[in-house]
Amino acid sequence: MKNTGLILLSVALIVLTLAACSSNRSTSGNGDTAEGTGMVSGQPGTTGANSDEEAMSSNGKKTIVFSSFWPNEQYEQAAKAYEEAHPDITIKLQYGLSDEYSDDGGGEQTDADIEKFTTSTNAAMLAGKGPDLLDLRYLAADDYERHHLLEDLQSRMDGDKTFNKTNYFANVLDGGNSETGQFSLPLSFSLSGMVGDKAAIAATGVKFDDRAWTWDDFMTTGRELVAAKGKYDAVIVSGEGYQVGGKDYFVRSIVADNYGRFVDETSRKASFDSPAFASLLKQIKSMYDDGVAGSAGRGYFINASILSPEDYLTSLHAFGDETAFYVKPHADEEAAGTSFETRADIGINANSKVKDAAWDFLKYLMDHTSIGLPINKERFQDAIQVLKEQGTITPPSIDSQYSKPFKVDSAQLDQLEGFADAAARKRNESGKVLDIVAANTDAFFTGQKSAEDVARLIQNKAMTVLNE
Amino acid sequence: MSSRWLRRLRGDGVAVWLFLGPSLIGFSLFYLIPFVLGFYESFTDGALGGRFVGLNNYTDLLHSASFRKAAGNTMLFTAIAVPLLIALSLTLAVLLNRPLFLRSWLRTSFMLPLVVPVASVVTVWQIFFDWNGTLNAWLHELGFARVDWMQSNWSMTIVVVMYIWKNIGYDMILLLAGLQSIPKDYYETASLEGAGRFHQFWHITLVYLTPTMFFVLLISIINSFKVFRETYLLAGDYPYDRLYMLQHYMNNMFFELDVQKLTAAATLMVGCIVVMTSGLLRAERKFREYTE
Repeated sequence: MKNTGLILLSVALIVLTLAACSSNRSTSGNGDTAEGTGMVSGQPGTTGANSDEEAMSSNGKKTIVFSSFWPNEQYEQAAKAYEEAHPDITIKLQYGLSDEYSDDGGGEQTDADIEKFTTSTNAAMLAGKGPDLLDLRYLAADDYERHHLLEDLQSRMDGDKTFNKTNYFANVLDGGNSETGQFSLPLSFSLSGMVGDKAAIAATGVKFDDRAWTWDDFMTTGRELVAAKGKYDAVIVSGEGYQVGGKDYFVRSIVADNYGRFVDETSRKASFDSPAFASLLKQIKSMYDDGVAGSAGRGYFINASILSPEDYLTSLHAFGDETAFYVKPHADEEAAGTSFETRADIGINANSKVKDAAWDFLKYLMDHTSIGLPINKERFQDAIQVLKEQGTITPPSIDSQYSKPFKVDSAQLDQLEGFADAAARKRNESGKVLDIVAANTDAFFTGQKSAEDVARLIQNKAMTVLNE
Repeated sequence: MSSRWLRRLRGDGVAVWLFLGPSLIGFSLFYLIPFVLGFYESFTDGALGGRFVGLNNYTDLLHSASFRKAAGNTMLFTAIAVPLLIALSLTLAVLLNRPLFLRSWLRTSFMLPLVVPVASVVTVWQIFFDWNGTLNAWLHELGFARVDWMQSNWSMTIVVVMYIWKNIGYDMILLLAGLQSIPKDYYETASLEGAGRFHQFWHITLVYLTPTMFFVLLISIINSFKVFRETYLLAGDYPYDRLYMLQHYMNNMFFELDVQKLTAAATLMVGCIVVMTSGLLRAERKFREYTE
């Protein structure tokens, strides 16, 4: 009878493991069935399975599941207002962040949440489920696009008469356009440029036209500024704001600004072995050698990203009394203009059952949210108007250091829309190719390898990435 | 429980299944079923319930220059590293098979790399072979030009050395066991009849070691596919293109959610390994029949 006992035992063990698996599934199911617009944190993605049934429920009520990593007040308000205007639609917001964000020690938990958010959303999307509408932050939008997991919004925009492109900053809107269509629309964008100490520059008497300057012009201007021996030793310091970066960061940010020049994503070709890249490297090195670029302190210009009208004035105020926003230099072949980055990019799941409703809500979001620099021109002007009426800005205090409120400079503020209109180049801030560029240039700057050797190495690795 | 059931349960077959069961379930659950699912996926155009597209994914895969490079690198690595490893471990085994000073200590020391965790060793190797690392510092002091070990064609050499270092002890033990199973009389008879050292090695040792050799060859080839772990830890997900192995490709495809190319590549690789192992096993059988 020993045998029977063993069999019973092993059967019991197997049943136990199976039960453990299925119980896991049922708990996540419980989370999904939570009703209403209340946030369902934790399991993003998994909800999509249920939304199919809910979307088709008997009374014709549709549910749009909208997933975003960061909780967003604007999304909540828009969802509420939209539900009131469309009683047949329910919008369910889900967030990837499990706890409220706090500065102290929240970082690790946030990283874990991001990982959980991306992996579970990836799995759900690949399985043809997932949320109907996605805020693509932290998600691999390019990969989704390549695998046709996102709805083509280009044809949506073309086919929808109520969608009027002139209401938006068209350059920014087209920025996400790839050869196969457009798969996400930004609700907001940021401008990347330089804040310059206008008074100090005027004192040196050096003149330039930042709306049209190329890197060569910048070099010439830079040498003149250094020769004038004015207020600062250097013209520009690598980094963002007061965060000083190294030479590798400098290269990375220039390549990011001119990504299309070195990497052709369409035909999967990199051209880092071209003389242009080697000469760019040499140019950057000579900027450091000539003192145009400094490695500490600050210079006449500071790299800055403008996230919102308020941020624009705060940055200008923080870097000096008499400052101005300048457009970054561009490569010879590129169009002159500000470089920008899209933010709050929203995509529609190609496998969603409520695509039409999701598209309608996406349009609503574009017209009724005001995040950072809004893509909608009217909301943009509203945001500026609000700031003007407010009169003063109290900058966020850093390290419990009290920062004084300052007056809103209407004249400066009026120029902001001009910069937004001039937005011409989309920055590509992330990506494996950029990481490769940043990681391999050090040997050149320390003088251990020639620019051509480094360029060849970068080309070698970049092609491996692009050929996959 | 009826008596018929009990009778059936007492049979031998049940015991076999009972012992095999757990490992069979584990193997199916974690290897076989996922692989079969992946095999199916490799013929469809989307994950889970995509359309059947025939060999499209395979043509896509073969059109990817990075895949071809990866496959070439993996083959090159196996072709260089495995013969070298076997030659070296055979030499060691023969040397350690005779009375030698500190023999058991030497044997143990060759086994050590097998038990040392890879991650800890890789850090040392990284520091050693870095562009600004120890080896280049020595070269510089001796007046030679330094070499970018990890970012040039030298990188393959380094991984070959690492592979040999890691696996030589294991292969040596296997070959030692094989050597000790060869009867001593053969050598005695041979030397009585005037056969020299070389003759003995060539006509006795190598011949009687061949079955072990087949096994060692198989294990070494399989281990050569596993060198990815060391390479990945040493050089990251995009190493110099000489080092870019099939597993790098698959790993990167996984992170890019490209299930189609990933499964197609895995299927091709498994196909190649199966063909190679069955070829080896057949050769071994032939050899056995021949010696008997």
